[in-house]
Amino acid sequence: MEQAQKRGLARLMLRWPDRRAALREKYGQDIRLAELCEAYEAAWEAAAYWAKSPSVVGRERAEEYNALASATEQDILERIS
Amino acid sequence: MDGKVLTEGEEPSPGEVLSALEALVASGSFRISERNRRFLSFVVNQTIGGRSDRIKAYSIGVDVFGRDDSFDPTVDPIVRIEATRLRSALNAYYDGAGSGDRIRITIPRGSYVPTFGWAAGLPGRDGRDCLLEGMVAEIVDGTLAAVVIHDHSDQADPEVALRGELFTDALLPLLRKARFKTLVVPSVERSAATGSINALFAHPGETYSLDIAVRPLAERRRYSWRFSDLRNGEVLASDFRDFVAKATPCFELIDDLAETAAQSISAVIASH
Repeated sequence: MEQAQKRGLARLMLRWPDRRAALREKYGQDIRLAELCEAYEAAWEAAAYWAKSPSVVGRERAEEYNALASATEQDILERIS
Repeated sequence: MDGKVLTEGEEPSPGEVLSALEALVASGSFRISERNRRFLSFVVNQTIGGRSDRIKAYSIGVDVFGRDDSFDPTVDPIVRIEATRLRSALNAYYDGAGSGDRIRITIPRGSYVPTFGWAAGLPGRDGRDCLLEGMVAEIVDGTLAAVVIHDHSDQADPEVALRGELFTDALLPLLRKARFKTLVVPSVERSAATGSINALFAHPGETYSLDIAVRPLAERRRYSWRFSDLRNGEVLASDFRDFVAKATPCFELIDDLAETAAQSISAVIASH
């Protein structure tokens, strides 16, 4: 669980280099932010899973999770701003 | 913070919860997607309808997110992700625009079943802080032991304040499980609850204080607790541990210390 939070945080730091300091600082203070990082990582992992899935709904699911990752990014931006 | 909600004692009625839900989802300050509004409404309605056992990732996936009966939450974690976003939105709302809301709807981590409680320090149904008033009455009757947790960590230091809050959060469920009425001395801005707790202090019933603190000591953080009988000031148990400070608080170590503290307190009370 904590590993998924850290992976999500690392992914966000790569995504927003100019917000690394804010992310690092708030991550240690805000349990909800840590949970959102985990959710963000889960959304990307699910998007990757469904993008490779032979299921008829694979593409639709991958798009849904990409959109969910973007929405979670917005939640995180609000949380650290 | 949603963790400051007290859920002991009388809960809001189903009608009051539904009114609170309506006001919440109608609020422009509560920023969630339409399907997360349906998610919240679904779990609240199932719970007040006595069907909380139906609240599982599978049923939410099918009934709220339109998945078919082949839905597998392990590869399709939509419910888990949206629940996290919903908890964050609830937390942000009650910390901001909804800080004056009397009824708090929370979805504890690890579950999708919501809990309903009165906001600590705000007037209850009849204008009083009913939880605390009720506790005072029970303690005066001598039928229950109450523990008042007072976090002495430096609130001006966000890092130790966070750790103190985590320590309090870890202690609360353990003390409640040990059947103590548990109260937390609120922050200074919540003076209504402070008044009620002071009333508790003034009564000679079976009331104990649990003073905790997290203090910085160079690269370490000292977590300490002290359990006292408020009737005579006697310190019945105390302990501390020093943990090396890391960027992320050491949740397992805090939980472990809280468990040890709760066990020690239960043992002291049993032999007292």
